[in-house]
Amino acid sequence: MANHATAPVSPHLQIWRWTVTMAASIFQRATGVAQYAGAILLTIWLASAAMSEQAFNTVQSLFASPLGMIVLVGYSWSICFHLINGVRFLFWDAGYGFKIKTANLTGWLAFGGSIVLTAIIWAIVLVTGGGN
Amino acid sequence: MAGKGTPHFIFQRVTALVMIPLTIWFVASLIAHAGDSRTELMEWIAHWHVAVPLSILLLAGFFHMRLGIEVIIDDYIHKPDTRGMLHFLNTLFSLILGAIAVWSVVAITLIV
Ligand code: HEM
Repeated sequence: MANHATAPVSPHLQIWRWTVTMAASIFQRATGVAQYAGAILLTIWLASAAMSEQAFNTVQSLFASPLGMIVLVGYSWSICFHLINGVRFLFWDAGYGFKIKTANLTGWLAFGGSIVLTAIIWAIVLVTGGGN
Repeated sequence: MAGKGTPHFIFQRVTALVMIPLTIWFVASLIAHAGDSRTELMEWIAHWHVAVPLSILLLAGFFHMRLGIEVIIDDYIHKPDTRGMLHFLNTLFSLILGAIAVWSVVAITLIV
């Protein structure tokens, strides 16, 4: 065997560094998978409304439970992130936004914007929806 | 999915484009309808100007979802048999879920 200390090593293992653009790409995939689960919840909700009062109330109270609320907040954030970052990727496909500075800025925007948007959504729901 | 790359790519993006305005509309509407009773919700969905765009959103969404998961399966699963089986299950599952969701919208429209 050659001397491992001096033998050249494939560079990707050494130059690897965490970047916001990389994180955004990974999260596009993760939130896509999360939305698969979300689609199941949306379908159950719609079907329960179509089925009966009892089915609908059961699903609604599950969603309103502490665990249900955590899942719904996560789902809504997934939608927001996947949508904002999806638009970002569509701009890339059209040939815009590739400059490293722009790509980094829009990457941060996808994370920050989706968190702010999720907070706004739930603030409105808590203020207006709760008493309904 | 050898040889199917281009239509796959296009459909993934066309469905994404269709969903952008519809998702914003649907999420905004859900916020406005938070706390609705079942009757109120059903009356809202039963309007043609809600049931139709909602059905389009659901159809585009399940199509996009199936295509997206297909790419992920191709990236991580390299054994042909396992990959084929997962593709089949993904298609089957998306079809069943999509059918139930769209059927629910139609049923609500008919019940109200
Ligand atoms: C709200 C509107 C949506 C937009 C604008 C959107 C946009 C996109 C775009 C542009 C891509 C391609 C990313 C790439 O270039 O790799 C993508 C991938 C994907 N989307 Fe969506 N999407 C939306 C909704 C959804 C929904 C509802 C689901 C699931 C039910 C979903 C699941 C996925 C999956 C699984 C992928 C594949 C991710 C990958 O290949 O890594 N998306 N989406």
